[in-house]
Amino acid sequence: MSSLPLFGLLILDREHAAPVHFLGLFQAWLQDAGGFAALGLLAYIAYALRTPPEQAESAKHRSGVNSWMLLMAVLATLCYAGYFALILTGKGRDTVNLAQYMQAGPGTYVKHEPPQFATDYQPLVLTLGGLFALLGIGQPFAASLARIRFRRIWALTILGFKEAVRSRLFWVFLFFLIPVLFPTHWFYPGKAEDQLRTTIGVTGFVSMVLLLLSAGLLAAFSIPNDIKNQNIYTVLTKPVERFEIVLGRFFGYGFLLSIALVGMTTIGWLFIFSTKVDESAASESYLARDPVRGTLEFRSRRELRGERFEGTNVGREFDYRRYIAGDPSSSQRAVWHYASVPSSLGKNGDSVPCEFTFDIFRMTKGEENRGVDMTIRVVTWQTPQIPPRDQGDGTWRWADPARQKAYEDDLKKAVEEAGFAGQNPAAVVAGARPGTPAWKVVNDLAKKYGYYEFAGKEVFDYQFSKIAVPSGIFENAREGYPPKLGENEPTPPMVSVFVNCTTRGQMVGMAEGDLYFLRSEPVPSHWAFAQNYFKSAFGLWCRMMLVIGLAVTCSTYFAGVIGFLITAALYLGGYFSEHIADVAKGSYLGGPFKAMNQLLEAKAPTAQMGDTPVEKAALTLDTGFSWLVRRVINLIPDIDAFTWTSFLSEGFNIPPAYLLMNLAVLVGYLLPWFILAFYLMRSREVAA
Amino acid sequence: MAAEVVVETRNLTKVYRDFWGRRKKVALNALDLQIHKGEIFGLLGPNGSGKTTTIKLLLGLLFPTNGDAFVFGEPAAKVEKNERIGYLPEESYLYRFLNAEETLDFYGRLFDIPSDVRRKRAAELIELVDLARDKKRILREYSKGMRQRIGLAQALINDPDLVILDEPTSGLDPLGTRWMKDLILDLKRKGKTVLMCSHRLDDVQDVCDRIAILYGGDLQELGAVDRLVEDQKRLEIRASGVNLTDDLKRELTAVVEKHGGKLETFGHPTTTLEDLFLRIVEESKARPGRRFLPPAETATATTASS
Ligand SMILES: Nc1ncnc2c1ncn2[C@@H]1O[C@H](COP(=O)(O)OP(=O)(O)OP(=O)(O)O)[C@@H](O)[C@H]1O
Ligand SMILES: [Mg+2]
Repeated sequence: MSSLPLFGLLILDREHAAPVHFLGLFQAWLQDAGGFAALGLLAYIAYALRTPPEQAESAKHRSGVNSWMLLMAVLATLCYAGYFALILTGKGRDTVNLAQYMQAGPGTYVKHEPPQFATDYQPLVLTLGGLFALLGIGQPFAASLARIRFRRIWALTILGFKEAVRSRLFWVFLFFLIPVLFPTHWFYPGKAEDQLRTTIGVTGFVSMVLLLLSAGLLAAFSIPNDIKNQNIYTVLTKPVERFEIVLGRFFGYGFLLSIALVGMTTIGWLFIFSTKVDESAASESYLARDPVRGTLEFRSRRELRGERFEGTNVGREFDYRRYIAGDPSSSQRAVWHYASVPSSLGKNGDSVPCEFTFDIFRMTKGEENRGVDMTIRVVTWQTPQIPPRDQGDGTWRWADPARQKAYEDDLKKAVEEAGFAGQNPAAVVAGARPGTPAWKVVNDLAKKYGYYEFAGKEVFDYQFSKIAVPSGIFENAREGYPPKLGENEPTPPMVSVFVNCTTRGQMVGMAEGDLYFLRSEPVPSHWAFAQNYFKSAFGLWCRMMLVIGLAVTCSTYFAGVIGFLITAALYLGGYFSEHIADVAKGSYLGGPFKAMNQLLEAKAPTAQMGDTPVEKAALTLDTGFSWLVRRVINLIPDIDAFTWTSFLSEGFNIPPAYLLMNLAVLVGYLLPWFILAFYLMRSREVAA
Repeated sequence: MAAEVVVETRNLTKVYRDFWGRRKKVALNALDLQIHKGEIFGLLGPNGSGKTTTIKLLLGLLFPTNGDAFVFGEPAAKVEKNERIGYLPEESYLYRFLNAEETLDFYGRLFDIPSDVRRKRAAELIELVDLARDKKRILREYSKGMRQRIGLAQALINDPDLVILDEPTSGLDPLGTRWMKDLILDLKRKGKTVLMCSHRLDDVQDVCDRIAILYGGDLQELGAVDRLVEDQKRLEIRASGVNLTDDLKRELTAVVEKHGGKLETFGHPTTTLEDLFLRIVEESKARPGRRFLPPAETATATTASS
C-alpha cells in the first residue's frame, strides 16, 4: 500500500528481495507457477484426448500430446497426490514459511518477507510437482522458442515501432512537459524541504501514467487490430512461429516505450538538476544513503517473568510502528539486531554513522520546539545485556557484572591517562566526538569491551537524527562468532542497538526501517542523486514491461478493450496485492467459511471456534481456502516490489542487487503468462 | 505416373461456428482435391461458395472441422511449409503505414532472407510489378490496383514453389489483367505450381490447366479446362436453306444416320466457360445435393497416390 509515500518517510513495510532470497523465491515460483501449469497441462491433455482420432494429422499437429508431456503429467500427478497425502496425515509441514502466517493474530501487522527455501517434505513435494508440470506444459513452448529467429523478431519489433511512430504516438509524451514547464510548487505549496520530493513525485507520477497507459493500450490492441485489419493473414502465411508475433509485439513496444522512458527520465533529471532547490531539500534528498539494516525486536523486564513485550500499539498507520514508553524508569527497549556485520563497516575512519527517525506520540504536551531525549546503546555479542530487576531503575545491566566493573575501572583509567584528569568519565564519554582526543578513548574501549552508549540525544518527530558509533564496536564484533546458547536457541546477534527514551510522558514509535548504520557518511551530491534517479526509473521500466507483457498476452485472446481492462485490473490489483494477501492469510477476521458458520449460528465474529465438528470443518475449509487464495493471488503482480520512488525522494541508495532481483521477478511473473499466450496464439483460428 | 502432388485435401470440411460452438455455416463440405506440380489450378464458384475458405484452410489460417489438408506432403498446420508458399490475399492485407520497399523488406525478413539477397530481390520485384516510381510512398496512398501489385510482389519475395492467388485480377485494369495473366503463365513456365481463384471466367479459361467449380461448399465439377468446355453431349450441324422444324429434325437425324444432306460442320462444339459455369450453377440450384462424382479412372488415381 505504499504507492503514495511521496510526502512521508521511507516506509519499509516489506523486505525487498535480494539475491539471498533467490532460492526461496524460485521455490515459491515453482510451486505457484507449477500449480497453474498443472491445471493447464491437465486441461490440455483432456482437450487433446477428446479430439476424435479421425480428425487426423492437422489436429494432431496443433494439439498433439507427446510422450514427454504425458510422462511429466503422470509425475506431477504423483507428486500432488503425495502432497495431499502428506497434508491429510499432517506430516512434513513447511516450518519455515508457514510459521509467519500462523503466529499472526487478527489485525496484526505482518511484514512482507520474501519466501525462504523450505526443506520440509510438503513444500519439497509441491515444488517437485510444479517443476514436472512446468516441464510438461513448457516443452512445446521451448520447442517453439528453439525455432525462433532473431531476424524475424527484429522485423516484427521494428514493425511495431514504426507503426507507433507513424501514428504519431510520441506526441502524447509531450504531456510530460507540463509538470516540467510549470514548477510543481505552484500546485503543491509545501514545506521547503519537501520541494524536491514533490518534484520527484509529480514527474514520476506523470511519466508513469503516460508510459503505462500507452503500454497497456498499444499492446492490448495490437494483435486484435492485426486480426481485424487481416494483416495477420499475410504475416502468418510466412514461416513465422505464431509466438514470434507475441514476442515481436512485446519487444517492439518495449523498445519504443523504453526510448520514451529514457527521454522523459533525462528531461526530468535535467529539470531537477537545473532548478534551484532549497538548501534543506537538497541536503535531505540529494543523498544516496547506503544503510545496513537489522531486525527489530522489542524487549523489557517482562522477560524476567518469562513474558514478552511486543511494543505498544497506539492505533496508528496500520500498526506499522510499535511504541515504547518514555521514562527513565522504563525498561522498554527497541532493539535492532545484526546477525552479521558487513566487513566494510567501520574499516575507514574511527566512526560509523547511525541514523534514525522516530515517530513521537505525545501523551502529555511537552515543551514547544523541544524533542525527546533518547539513549542509544550499541553492544556486541561479547557484551550481552539483561533487563533490570529493580522497578525504580530502567537501565539495563551487563550479563557479566565483573566485565561491567572492569569496563568502568578501565574507563576511569583511560580518561585520566588521556589528560582528562578530574573530569567525570561519563561526561567525557558523552562529549566525545570523532576527531577529538576523547573519541580515541571511547573507540579503544569500544574495541576492547564491545560497548558504547550515547545518552541524551535530542530527537524530533519525523526528522533524521544521527550519532557516530565508534568503529571499535565492529572490530570487537568481528573478533569471533557468538557461541550458540542451546540446541533450540537462535544464535545471538553480532551487534545489537538498544534504544530507549528518557523523557517522561512520551511514546516513541519505531519500525524496522527507522534505524540503520550507514556504510559511509552520506554527502549530498548530484552524481549520487542522478544515479539513484535512473535506478528508480528502472523500477518503472520493469512495471512498463510487465504491463506490455500482460496486455500482449490478453490480446492473443481478447478484443482490445477487454484485454486492456483485464490488464488494468491486474495491474491496479497489484497495488493492493499485499492487502489481499493479508486477507488470504486469515490475519483479519478469519476466512469465509468461519464467517458463514458464525452468521448461521448468530455468533460474534470474535467468538472462539473449533469445538463442534461443523466448526472444525469450517476451520479446515478456511485453511484450504486461504491456501487457494494465496496461490491465485500470484496472478496479480506485486507492483510495490518495483516502486523505488520513495527510496529516491528520501535519499536512500537503491541497491543494484534489488534491481537485479526486480528483473528476475519480472521474468518469473511474465514467463507463465507467455506460455499461456503461446497456447492461445497457437490454438487461435485467426481467420474465423 | 502423374507429377508430384503439391496440394492435397482429403474430405476437407469447414463448419463456421459461433462463440457458443453452434453451427453457423457449412462453408466447405468434404472436398477431395489434388493439385500437381507445375499446373495452374483454378477454383471457381459464385460468391460465398467456399473458395477463400479452402485457401485459408490450406494456409493454416483456419483449422479444418474435419478431414485434412496437405501442402508439399505436410499438414497445413505446419509452419515450415510456408517457406515454399507465396500467398496473395483477396484484399491486399498489408501494413498501410509502410512504403513498398519497407513492405518487401519486412516480409523478406520474415523468411529470414539475408539482407543483400533481400534487397536485390525487392528491387527486382518492384521493377516487375512496375512500382519503381512509387516505391517510397506509403501503401495508404496506393490505389486498389497498385496495392494488388505490391501484394503480388510480396507473395513472390521468397521465390515460392507454390503460389496461391485469391482473385489476382481484381482491381486491375485490362492492361494489368493481361500482365497478371502473362505473369501467371510465366510462373508455370518456371515450373511453379499456381492455385488461383477468380470470378473472371475468361481469365481462368485463358490460364488454367484444370479447374474445380464449387457451389455452396460442394465440389460440382473438376477437370481439365479443354475437356470441360468441350461439350460431349451435343452435336452441332450447320446447314443452310431449310427451316428447322420438328419434321426436319427427325429427318435430319435419319439422314445423318444414313447419308446425304450437306453437312457443313460435324463435331464437338466448344462453349465458353461462362456457359458451363452458369449451367452448373443453375443445375446446382435446381437440384440441391448435386455433387461431382469423379469418373472411375480419377478415383483409382486418387487412392493409388494417397
Ligand atoms: N469468418 C466467418 N464466419 C462465418 N462464416 C464465414 C466466415 N468466413 C466465411 N464464411 C461463410 O462461408 C462461406 C464461404 O465463404 P468464402 O469466403 O470461402 O467464399 P468465397 O467463395 O471466397 O466467396 P467470394 O467469391 O465472395 O470471395 C460464405 O457463406 C461465408 O458467409
Ligand atoms: Mg473469396
